[in-house]
Amino acid sequence: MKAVSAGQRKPRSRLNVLTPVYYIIAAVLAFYALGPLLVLIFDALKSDTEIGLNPLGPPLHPLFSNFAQAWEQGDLGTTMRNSVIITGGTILGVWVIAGMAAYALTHLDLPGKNGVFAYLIVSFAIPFQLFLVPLYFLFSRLHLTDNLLGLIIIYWAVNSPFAILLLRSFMLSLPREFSDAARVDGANDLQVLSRIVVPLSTPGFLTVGLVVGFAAWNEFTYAVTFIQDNSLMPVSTSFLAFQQAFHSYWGLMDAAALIIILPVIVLFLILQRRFIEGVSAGGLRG
Amino acid sequence: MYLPVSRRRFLAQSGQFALGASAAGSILAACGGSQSSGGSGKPSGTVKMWIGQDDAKRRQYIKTHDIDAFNKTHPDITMDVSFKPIDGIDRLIQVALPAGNGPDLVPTPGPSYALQYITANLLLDIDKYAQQYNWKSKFFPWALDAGRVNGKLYSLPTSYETMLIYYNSTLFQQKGWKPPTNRSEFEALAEECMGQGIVPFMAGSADWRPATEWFVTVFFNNYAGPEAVYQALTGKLPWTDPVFVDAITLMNNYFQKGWFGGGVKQYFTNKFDPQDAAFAQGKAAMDMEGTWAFSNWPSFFGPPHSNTDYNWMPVPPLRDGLPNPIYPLGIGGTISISASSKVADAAAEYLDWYYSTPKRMTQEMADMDFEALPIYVKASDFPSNINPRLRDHYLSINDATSKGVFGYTTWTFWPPKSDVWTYQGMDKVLTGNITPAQYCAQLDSIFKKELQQGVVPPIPKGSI
Amino acid sequence: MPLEQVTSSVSSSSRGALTQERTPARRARRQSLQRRRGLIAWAFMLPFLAVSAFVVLGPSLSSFYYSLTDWTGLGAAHFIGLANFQQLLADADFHKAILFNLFWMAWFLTIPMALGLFGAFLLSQIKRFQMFFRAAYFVPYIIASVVNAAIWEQILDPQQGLAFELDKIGIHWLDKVFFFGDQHLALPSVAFVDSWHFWGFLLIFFLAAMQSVDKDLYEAARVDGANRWRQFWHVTLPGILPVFGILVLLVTVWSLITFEYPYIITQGGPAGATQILTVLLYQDAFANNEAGYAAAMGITISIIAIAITLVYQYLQRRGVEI
Repeated sequence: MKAVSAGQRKPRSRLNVLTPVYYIIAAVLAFYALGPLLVLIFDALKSDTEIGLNPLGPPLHPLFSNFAQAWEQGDLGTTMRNSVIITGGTILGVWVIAGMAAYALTHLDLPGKNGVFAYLIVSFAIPFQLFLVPLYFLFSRLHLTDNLLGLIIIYWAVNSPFAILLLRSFMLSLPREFSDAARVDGANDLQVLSRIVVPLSTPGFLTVGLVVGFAAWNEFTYAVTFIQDNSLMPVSTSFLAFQQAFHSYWGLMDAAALIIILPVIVLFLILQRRFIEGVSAGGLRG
Repeated sequence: MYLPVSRRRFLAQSGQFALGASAAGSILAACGGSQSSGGSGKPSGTVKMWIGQDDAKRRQYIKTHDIDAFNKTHPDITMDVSFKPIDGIDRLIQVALPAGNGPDLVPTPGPSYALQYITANLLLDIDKYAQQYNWKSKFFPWALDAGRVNGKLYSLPTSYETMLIYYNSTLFQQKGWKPPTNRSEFEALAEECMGQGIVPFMAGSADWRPATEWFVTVFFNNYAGPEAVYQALTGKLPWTDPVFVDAITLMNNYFQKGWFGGGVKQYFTNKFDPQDAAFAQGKAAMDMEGTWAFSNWPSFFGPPHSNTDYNWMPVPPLRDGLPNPIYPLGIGGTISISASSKVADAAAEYLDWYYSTPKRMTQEMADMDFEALPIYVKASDFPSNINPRLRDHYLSINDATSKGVFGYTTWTFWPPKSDVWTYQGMDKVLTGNITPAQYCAQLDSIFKKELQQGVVPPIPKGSI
Repeated sequence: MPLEQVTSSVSSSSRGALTQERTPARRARRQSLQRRRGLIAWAFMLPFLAVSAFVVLGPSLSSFYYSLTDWTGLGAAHFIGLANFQQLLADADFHKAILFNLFWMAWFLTIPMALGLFGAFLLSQIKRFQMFFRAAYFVPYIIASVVNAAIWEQILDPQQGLAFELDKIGIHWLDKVFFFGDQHLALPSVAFVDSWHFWGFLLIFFLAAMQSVDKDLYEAARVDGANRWRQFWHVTLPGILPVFGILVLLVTVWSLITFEYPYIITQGGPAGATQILTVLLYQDAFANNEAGYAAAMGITISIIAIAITLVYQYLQRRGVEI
């Protein structure tokens, strides 16, 4: 494949009349995305009475104590630890389960492929109300309620369908030459999957990991149904601690919300960096 | 016991779905579970009780005042309490009870939930204990009646509440207003408020959609009257009767005039906290809400929050010939003894102690804003640190209801589907999608079906 | 040609001299090899199928049974055949809910998708502050829905939100606009908040897909004289078509089962204006003692989703590479 033609040392400069316009639009969109976050930060520093009087503006008497109080009242130390376990377990499990399944669908000539594909769509199109209660009964008999592993298994089942579909799209665009060549060289399917396909679809895996991770971190309905033991509750249920009958402690809730998204943003930044590197290092150069 | 009515009641309904799946288990429980503790003599044993409570401070308080205090004075009985999350306790009970793993003392969010367990033979008939401990002298008559199914007693209410009007007393003083005692005074006051740019009643359902049923409760009881409501709830009067249609029409009128929340769209947008703040600042004059709101006001009224104060009044009757005051009753929770309990006598002993100690109860009301039990109390039973307005309110409602004058809240005494229609349907009246007559017709049709299915909770009879 | 067709043609036993069986022995060996390959493929599928059957399929089947009964959630369930489904067809609330979901689908297939594509395009054109912009656009997606809902309710509050701030500078347009309290504005407003949240999700996937497009194709296009826009149209879009196609399918199906935002912000109100299918289902199942009917509704929603899948697969077989 051609690199650059002789006479050109570097790609032509990308300066374009439109570029500043793009930057402006990007900035406007960033404001649209981050504006509410700013409100969240402001509100996290206010007392509830102040929020009643001044919901959007900067806090007049910043209440940094909200964070400490939110940490304690929501037992955030315990819940965050639980969420880390749950999220980590979910991501790893989904990578394995969905990775293998997507591989089977794209590189392994699965007989009955269309049926499986249909099942994938159907299984995540089922509204949760349909199976929540029978599942609860089943799990409680198997002692999987009040159990982090039980919740992780549910997340595997619920998140895998769309992870499989997305990984499948990424894997579809990989040329078969690589895996065929490897198989000719004597590699078995597992090795082809782990040594060839996964590295080539790293952007896909990282993205799926990111999205599944957030889904698990923020998930609420299943968490609140299947976990009652206070020492096992994840962060999403922390918000319950700030609600009482008809009254919510908004200031504390917002402070808790900020504490909770912090690790997520950090994780995102870390993975994003690797994501960009992964793409420029690997890729489909011939 | 403090039970936040709203969320618990709402989330508990998910359990109805679950209950059927364990219907088979209930038969087992009924067969095996023939109760009574160790033979004759004093009741003894370890009684398991589950309480839904998340807050650490409250848990400690309950343990000290409700559990340890009993255990110390009753050496033969040990109360073993297990705290469960408020959101999860009903589901836990629904799974455990039919399987025979539930607690001895079974809490539910209200009579219609207790009814489900009773129908499935999971709760014990406690008439003999009522006689043994002479509960008739300790409880309000309606309280025992609310737990009777087919004449037998199965559950006791653990809290009760009603609808009131709170008003900004500082504002009233400034304007020279007086609490209204009848409909014309009520309307005159509202017009006066509107004229001065003050919203008569703060109101908003954005935080809690079913809030609309608070108002339906008031208008049914204070316009149609408790007697008419009783007739309708026992199937003797249809909901299409003009007295009900007129009640709904009146409510709709007031809402369209902007007397509640400032307008219909505002009503659907307003949230509780900003409304409470506006009320404390005199931007709204009154608040038609339940007794639970007493615990809100310290955060909004008085220094350092505001320079205003509040007071309460009963909702005036809105039609001539009705008693005054009318307190529609809501029951926030019930307690029963499991049909499969092996220590029923001991459990009953605890129940009697729980309901025979008014000073303990009033202390809890004062310290922790717990709701009252439906037992007779005197002014002297209240501790000195009680909010005097709360005390006066309870004395007043005690007085009225013990005489048999009370109404019925929709969230306690309507069967489930009818209850949902009271607010969902009313919202459609407010937005002009259906007429009051259509609303009542639909209510009647839904109610009749539930009456047939036998899911209407026990309706205590008043004396009016 | 889609890769699957390429592979199946290679393994099919009826094309090309190289793959022709000459003897029964070879055919038998080939068949057993094929079967072995099939088994291996299923082995790779197994973890997913096991977990899914255990958690989703099994429990859903019991609901399937109840949809054919008059079960109230309590007591015995009597078989009544398709009566629930007949009642569903006549249910006005159900019809309205379907319309609401169709509106939702139309909204989400256009606005966030376009915005996602545009955002990804934008990010691919600017060099600096990549990390900042990516993080910024993704932040709405990672904040819990409960919190997002609360914040937007404040911002769109006519008395204390944006309207209040605008009042200060004399702009009174928003004073009487009740985004969530007006039954005509409620659904679009909720959709708006959910799109704000969902946009980052689409963006990330479009970005990832764009990054995977062969850089040399751009080079080739540029040499051919294509400007930035035409490169986007002729190189990028076709390159991300698989991911784009899947996202279209996902968004379509998710529009049918979306639940959180309409439930959290307006709880189906005001007066049923945001009562989409799953909210209606939730309220029927859990508040109305109509467990059998609710199960029927849930099944119906799933059937509609299956129908959409079939259309999707039909399109795929017709060669639209998705």
